[in-house]
Parts: sequence; C-alpha cells; structure tokens
Amino acid sequence: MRSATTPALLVRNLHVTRGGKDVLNNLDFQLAAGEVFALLGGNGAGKSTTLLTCIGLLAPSRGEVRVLGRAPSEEPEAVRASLAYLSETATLYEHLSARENLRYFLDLAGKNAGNEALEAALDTVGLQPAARDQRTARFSKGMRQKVAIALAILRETPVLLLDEPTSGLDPVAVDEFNQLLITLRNRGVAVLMVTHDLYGACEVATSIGLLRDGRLVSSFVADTDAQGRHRPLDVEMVRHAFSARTSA
Amino acid sequence: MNLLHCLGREAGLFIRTRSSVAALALLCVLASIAIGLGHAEVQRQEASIERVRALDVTERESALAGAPDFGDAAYAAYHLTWNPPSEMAFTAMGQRDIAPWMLRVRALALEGQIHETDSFNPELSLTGRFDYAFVMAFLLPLFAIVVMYDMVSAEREAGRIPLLVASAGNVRRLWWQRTAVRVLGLLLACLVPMWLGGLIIGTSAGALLTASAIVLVTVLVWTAVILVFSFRPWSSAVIATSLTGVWLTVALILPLGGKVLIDYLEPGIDGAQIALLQRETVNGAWDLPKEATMKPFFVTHPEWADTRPVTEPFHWKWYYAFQQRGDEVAAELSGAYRAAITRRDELTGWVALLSPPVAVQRALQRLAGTDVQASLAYEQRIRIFHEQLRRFYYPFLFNEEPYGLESLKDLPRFE
Amino acid sequence: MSQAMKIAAGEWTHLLRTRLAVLTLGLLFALVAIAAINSSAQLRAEAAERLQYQQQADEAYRAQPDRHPHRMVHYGHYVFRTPAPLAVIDPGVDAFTGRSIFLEGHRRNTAAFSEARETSVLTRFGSVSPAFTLQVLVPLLMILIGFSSVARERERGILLQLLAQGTRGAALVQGKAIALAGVAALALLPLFLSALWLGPQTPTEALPLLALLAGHTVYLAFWVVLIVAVSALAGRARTALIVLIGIWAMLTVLVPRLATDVAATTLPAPNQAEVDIRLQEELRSVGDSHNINDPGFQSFQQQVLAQYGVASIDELPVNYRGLVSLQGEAESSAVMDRLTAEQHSLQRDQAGIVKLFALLSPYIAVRHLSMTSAGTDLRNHQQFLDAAEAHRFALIQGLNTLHAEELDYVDDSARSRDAEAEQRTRVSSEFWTTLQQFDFAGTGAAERVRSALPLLLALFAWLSASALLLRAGARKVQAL
Repeated sequence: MRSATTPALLVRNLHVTRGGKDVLNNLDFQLAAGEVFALLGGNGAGKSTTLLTCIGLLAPSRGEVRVLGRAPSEEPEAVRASLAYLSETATLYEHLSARENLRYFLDLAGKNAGNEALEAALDTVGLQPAARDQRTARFSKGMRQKVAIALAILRETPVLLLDEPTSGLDPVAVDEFNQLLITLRNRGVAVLMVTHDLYGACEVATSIGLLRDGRLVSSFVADTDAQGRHRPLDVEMVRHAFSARTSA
Repeated sequence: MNLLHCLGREAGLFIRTRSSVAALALLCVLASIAIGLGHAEVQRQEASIERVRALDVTERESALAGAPDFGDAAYAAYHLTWNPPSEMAFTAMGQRDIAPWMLRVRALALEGQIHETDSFNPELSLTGRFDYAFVMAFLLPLFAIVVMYDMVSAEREAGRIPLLVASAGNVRRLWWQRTAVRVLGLLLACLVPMWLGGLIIGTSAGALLTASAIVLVTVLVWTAVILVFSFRPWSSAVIATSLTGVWLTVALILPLGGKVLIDYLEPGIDGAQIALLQRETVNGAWDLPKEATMKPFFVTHPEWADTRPVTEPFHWKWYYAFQQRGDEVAAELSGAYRAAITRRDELTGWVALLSPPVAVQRALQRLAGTDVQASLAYEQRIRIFHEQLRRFYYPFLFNEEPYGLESLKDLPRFE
Repeated sequence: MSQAMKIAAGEWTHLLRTRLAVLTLGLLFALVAIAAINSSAQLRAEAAERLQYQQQADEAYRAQPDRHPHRMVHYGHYVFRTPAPLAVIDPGVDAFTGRSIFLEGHRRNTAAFSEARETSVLTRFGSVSPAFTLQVLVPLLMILIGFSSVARERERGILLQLLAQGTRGAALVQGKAIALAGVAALALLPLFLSALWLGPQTPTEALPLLALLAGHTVYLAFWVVLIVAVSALAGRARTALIVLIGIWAMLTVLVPRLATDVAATTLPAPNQAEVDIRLQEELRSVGDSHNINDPGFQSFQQQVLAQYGVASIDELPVNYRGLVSLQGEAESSAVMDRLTAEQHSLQRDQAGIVKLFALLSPYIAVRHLSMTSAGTDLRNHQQFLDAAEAHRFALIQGLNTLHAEELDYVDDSARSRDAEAEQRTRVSSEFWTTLQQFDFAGTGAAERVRSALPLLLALFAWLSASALLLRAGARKVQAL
C-alpha cells in the first residue's frame, strides 16, 4: 500500500549489468510528487539505462527501484500503469494521424479519454487544429513531441519519464516544453528527466544530478521560496561544479 | 480489458498499414483466382466425363451390333471407367493432370490396358496447375513472412519499444494480440475464397471445415516459425533474409533432397516390365499347346473345367483364357509396382514432416481425392470392374452360347 | 583500378566478412554442384537402363519362333527413349512423358510409364537439375546476397561519404553489379565445367550447348542488374529485400503456373478417351482388316482384282488377306496420324501460349530456351512419338507384306479350323532377325538452336529493361 510518505520514485543502491558490464553502479536518488529530477551525463553514462530499469525493461542486478512503492521487475504492469514515457525521437506511428496515435496509445494503456479531453490536451501542447488529422509522417520533430506530450498528459500518470525530450527542438519549442513541464510539476507529477540541456534542466528541475560511468557523481537540489515553490537552479554554479567533476 | 476490444484496436492499427493490407488483398485475389481456375477445371472435367459417357454408350452399341459372336463382342466393346472430381477437387488438382481419370477397358488382359496414360500435355504438367493447394503451400508462407517478419524489429528500429512497454504494461500480450490479428487476416484472405467457391458448388460443410482446419494449421505452423525469427534481436533485413532462407529450404530444397533420397531408398519398379511380361505371356500362348494355357486357367477358374475342350487352332475361350493367364502371371510384378508406389508415397509422408509445403499439398490432395492413394484406388475400381466384365462373358464363351444382343443387356456397368 | 572495380572489390570483402552471406554463397555453390552431380549420375544410370531394355526387347523379338506374320503384328515391339545428351543439364519434360512405347498393329500407342506418375507429389517441386537450380534457386540466393548492396550504404550514410569523395553514382552501381556478377559466375561455373566435359563427348551438341550457356548467362545477368537496381532505388534494405522477393516469386513461381492454367483453359484439350472413341468411329468406316468380307474393303477388292486381271481372290498370285492387312493398316494409320497430329498441334499451341508469357517472365524464356536447346521440350517428345510411329508403321507393313507374299490364301483362310493349315501359315523365324534398329536422334542441333534464338532475344530484352532500371538507380544514388 502506498502511504503518504512513499516516494513517487525511489532508486536505491542500484546496479545494472548489461553484457557483463556494470552500466549503473550504486545509483541512489528519490523524488516525490511535484518534483523534477534532471539527470545529466555524457553518452554511455547510463542515463537511458536508468529509465529502462524504471519501466522494467531492464532488471537490477543489485539494489532496487520502486515506483510508488512497487518494484518494476516484480509488478511491471502496475508500475507501467502509473507512469508515462516520452522518448527522444517521439516515436509515433507515422501512418496514423495525431489524433489516431493518441487514441491508439491511450487505448493501449487502458485509458478512456473523451474527445474533449483529447482536444484539450492538444490545445495544451499547442498543436495546430489543422495538423491534428494529418499523418504524423510529415510532422516536424517538435510537432511529434507535442503529440507525445499530449499523450503523457492524457494518461494522467503520477510519474513521468522523459528521455532527452528537448533534443533537436527549436528554441521556441524548448521554451514551450519547459513551461509545460513546470505546469505538470505544479500539478504534482513526479518527473525523471534525462537530458543534455543544462539550461533547460536548471529552469525546470527541482534537483539535478550528473551521471558518469554509471555513478551519480554530483547533485544539486533547488531552493524553495516561502510558498514552498522551487526556484530555478543557478546554471553557472551547476556547470562549474559539473565541469570540475567531469575533468577530475 | 476484454480481448475482443484489444484485437479490434490492433486490427485498426494493422489495416492502416497500407503494405500489409495490400499483401493480404493480393493473397486473397490469388486464392480466388486459384479457386476460380480450379472450379473451371472441375467443370471441364465433369462435362468431359458426361460427354464421353454418352459417346461410350453409342460406341459400344455399334461395336456390339457388328460383332458375330461373344468373343468378338468382348474384343470390340470398350467400357468407359471414370473417376469424377470430388467435391473438393477444385482446391487441389493433384494427380489429375498426370494420372488418367477416364480409361476405357475391354475384356482382354488388363495389365496391357490399365497403364495407359492420358494424353496430358507434358509441358503443362511440368509446371503444375495454379490451384488452391499451390497457393497455400508456396505463396501463403511468403505472404505470412511479409506481414509478420518485422512485427517486433520494426518497432525496435523505430525506437518505439519503451513507449509501447510503458503504455501497454505487458508488451508480450501486445505481441500476441498483433500476431492474432495477422493470423486472422491471413486466414480471412485464404478461407473466404475457398468457402465462397465451396458454397457455390455445394460442397459439404464437413469437407470445407476440414480444409479450413488444414489451412489453419498451415498458418499456425508458419506463424510459429516466423515468430521464432522475428523475436530475435536482429535487424529486419537479417530476419527477412533468414526467413526467406527457411522458406527456400523447406519449400524447394528439402522436397528435392527428399526426392533424391526416395529414389535411392525405393527406386520403384519400371512399369514397362509389367507390360513386357504380360505381353510375352499372352503372345507366347499362341505357340504353346492349348493345355499349357487351359490347365492353369482351370486351376483358378475350376467352374469351367468341365466344358468342351479346345481342339481347333483357335477358339475364343482359349483366347480369353490366355488373356487371363497374362494378368495372372504379371499379377505379382504389378502388385509390387503398386506397392512400390505406395511405399514411395509413404516416404513422401516423412518428407512432409519436415516440409510444410509438402504436408499441406498432401493433406489437401488427400481431402480432394486427388492424391496418389486416390489414383491407386481408382485403378483398383477399374480392376474390380474388369473382373466383373470377364465373369460376365465367361459363361457365354465357355458354354459356347449363340450370340444375341438380348443376352448383353445385363453387361456390367461401371458406377 | 577504376572506381567501379574498387567498389566491387569492397563489396566482395564485405560479403566474405558477413556470416550470412558466406553461408548463402556456400549453399548456392553446393546446390549447383550437387544438382550437376546427381543429374549426371541419374542420367547415366537411366541411359544404361534404357539401352539394356531396348536390347532385351530387340532380342526377344528376334528370338520369336516360326509364326504367322499377323501374330507378330500383335506381338509387336517395344521402343525405349534414351535421354538426350543435354538432359544432364535440363531434363525438361522427361519426367512427365512416358519412357517406352509399345508398337503393335492396328493401334498407335502413346508413351507409357512416366516417372511423375510413379513418383510422388515431390516431382512437382522442380527437378534436381542444373537448369532448375540456375533458373529458380540461384536468383533467390543472389537476392539474399545482393539486396542490401546499395541500400545498406544508403542506410549507414556511407553513400553520402562516397559521393563526397567523388565517386559517381553510375560507378557505384556498376561496381556493386560487378561484385554480384562474381556470385553469378560462381553459380555458372559448374555449368561451364560440365559443358567443357560434355562438349568433346558429343561434338554435335556444341552449338545447343553454347545457346544454353548464353541463355543462362544472360538470364543471371538480368537478375544481377535487377537486384542492384532495386537495391539502389529502394530507400531501405528491407524494402529492397521484400520487393525483390516479391518479383522473384512472381516471375518464377506465380506467372508460370498462371500461364499453364491460361493455356489449359483457353485451349482445352480433349480427353484421350474421347479421342479414342472418335478414332474408333472413323476406323469403323475403314473396316476391320481381320475380316476380308468387311464392307469397308469391297471397293479395294474390286481394285485388286482389276489390277491383277483376275476374277476372284482365289486366283490372285498373292495372299489377299495380307493385302487387306496392308491396306487396312495404311488407312487406319492415316486416320490415327491425322488425329494425333491434331492433338500434337493443340499441345504445341498450348505450349505456345505458355511461351508468350516469356514477355511477363524471363524465367519462362530461359526455361524454354534451355529445354529447346537440350532437346527435352514438348516438340522433341512429339518427334520421338512420330519417329516411333514411323518405325511401327514400317515394322507392321513389313510383316503384312510377308503375310501377303509368303502365305497361301487357302491355308490362311482355314488356319482357325485346320491345325495342319495353321502349321503351314507359320513363316520362318529368320524373318524376325531382320528387325530394324530404332534410332531416334532427336531434333537436329541447328533446328534447336534456331528455335532457341527468339528466346535468347527475349532474354536480352529483359536484360535491357533491367539495365534501364539500373540507370534510374544510378541517378537516384547520385541524387542521394
């Protein structure tokens, strides 16, 4: 049973081995509802592995992952029902329209969203009404990403996993995306985000960590103001600290 | 969530994939063409049988009318035997374009007649007919490969697996649902033309159900084979290459290898030897004393032993006795010939265990009554009829009764 | 080294380093070699067997005792077809035609005991011959080896790199085609080797052998060019593979069967039983030559009497019964020949329809070219039947002449009732030893090559069509 103190996502002492190699080494972090944890790191640092382990596509060799108190490797279906996933490439079915994609994936997730909710979500992400019935094959990356985010919104899951959601987006789209993420955060969604974008991360994240060779080598937590709202992190400070850790 | 709803969702996704729908539509069209052509061929054969049966009656009447005695009558009168296409023959032509399905016999030695071949065009036989069994054996697996080979790898190559997993919860169930949709699509494309064809000509539901079961098993076997490969963590191209290799092996290389092996294990008997032996016996009798023929004949036919002995150089009863002897002498070799054919057919059954295309053709031909066994069974029916024919003529010949058309009204009929 | 050759060398290096490609190459070579070996071993055994049967039949005929000549007419004779020398490469329709014919009086039998009738469903899957392997299996294996040749470079972004280095699109596709042509050459090697081995043994077959080699070479060249062209035109390797397999299935599996059904449906052949009944009706008007009083021979009798200037058949210097046999056989043979010619021409027309489909499938073109050159096609089989018929007619009429000239009419008429007369109607067994050897040489080499030439042209047309496609492919590569 989930108690009030159960973290939305708990990663404790996590080790993951792939092809005989430790890709994650003693990873520890947790986040509660309304928190955004941004995980930064170079290629092969283990960022995507962390996400795949949270979905239950990879199993821990040691340690544990809990999503709302449940282990993905033990109760994959219950865990997956409580999280949404957004990938770097926003992988939709190209031969389906935006609306068809949404309906398909929502149905797949066992979610019954009415037409109004669907349109509202598409409004929220800002997809032009004219584009909604077009096949996504010709969509720009930003448009596809909007559909994928709409899907994540519509699923109304307490946990959101993002795999480099802003890579390849134009600056305006990145800004829109970050605002959306803050909205979700304020609604109480717990977000684990893997990203290259330090600026974006500092703007939206409540905490931020640097992953290198499967280890969490550095992390920062954002301050909160009097109302308990998170303040953006200081980019220069984080960058300074990270570059020191990276060159070490 | 109920299964039907899930299948509906996956079917909706599947039918929006243009290439897959085109593949299934093409399969359905090809199956329909095969059914249509099979249907036309069956009708042609039925019409041919009907026409020749009518001709046969008038031809026999004029032959009998012109005969001076029973010996001549039995010599001149041919009797048509026929093997009508079964209600399922439109699905599998099988042996019907290499083994005769109409044969005229007379009361002479049967071994000299029963091996007659029909005038099939060998160049058409070489390729074989475009029948439903061919579509199921060779084309269906290729279409199954096309709609299923990249079911998993395409999702992986598009990077969609995590999203699918996160959405579906249980992705294994999703693969099963997608497999089920593809299997249902393949079955629909194959079975609808067959059922329509069957219902039009009034085939019994039982036979259609059996054929459907054969198609179902074929689809399931190929699905299993394809899934073994498509679940591998390989690229789509490698999976497609491997599956094509598998198809090539089981559809062409294994059957050909099997044939070489069967030729080696069971070379069979050259039928020409039977005809040679029979002919030596029949013709040799002319130069032998009459007793050399009549004595062994009376051993197998003691009922005529007490009739008047043959004293003249030629007498019909002696003539038919050595015809009978010719068959009796050749019987052993002829039996061995058929046994060898049966044995080769059994060995083919073993090849079928390894090769679904061989298996499905055999199964459909068995059901359609167009396989080797059916053609041997027709041969057996001819033998029985021929025996009736002989037994009909013997009393007239051996009792040397005066000829009269009235006596011939009870001539055996082939049914 | 030119650009194209460099690309080709690179492709070969790639193939030899890819496990699947090496496996396929090995399979391809093994199949062609096994087919060649099996086919030649089987054929040699069969040729020896046929020869032995023919000798046995000849000896049995020559060893017949003193007999009435008409007994020999019914005893008859067997002739066996020995396989054509080039059947080693392409057995053609041989498995579906009878291998022996019983020659007897009054009847024109057809060849009986075909292999297909005796064997199982497996014969329908093709033949274990170099021709089938090269025409059907090798193209598919070449597809598996070559489908990704250009598409792979495009997928991995190497295409861009090559073009940036100044490689021309044409040179790239040419190089890939040269590499794949190497694979085709490997597959053709056993055929060329067996040609070197067969050529000196049967010098008359040199020309057809050349046509056969040329046909298969052009055919495989068509596939080489097509495979590279599709690989260049397709966006992705798997698309190329699926499209190529589709084309292969259509050209070698689907169209031939459809062609067969179209031929059989548009020109339905009458059943043998039907033809036999028609024949019998016509023969009844000829008359029964066993019965000299048959109304069919009344005018013949008048004619003979007038010719010899005698009043009755007893006064004839020859045996009238023999004359009737001669006349009856000649008349009935004419009827039978006419009906058979009709049947043969219908079958050739059916084959002609199938051959038209060479416009839809180069496989049909190469298959007919191969069968025609090898002398294992329908036409050759029909010529065998006609040759056997000519042999039969000569044999039977020789016996009927004996019947007319060596036998006494009175004895001959009484032989069924009078045992002594019967003895006197037996002619010496020495006559049987003069049996002529049956020699069937098959269609002449020049004629075979002549009828193969249009098909070779058709294959060149297919090759040109695929070359056009390759040019389009080169342009697409150049444009990325």
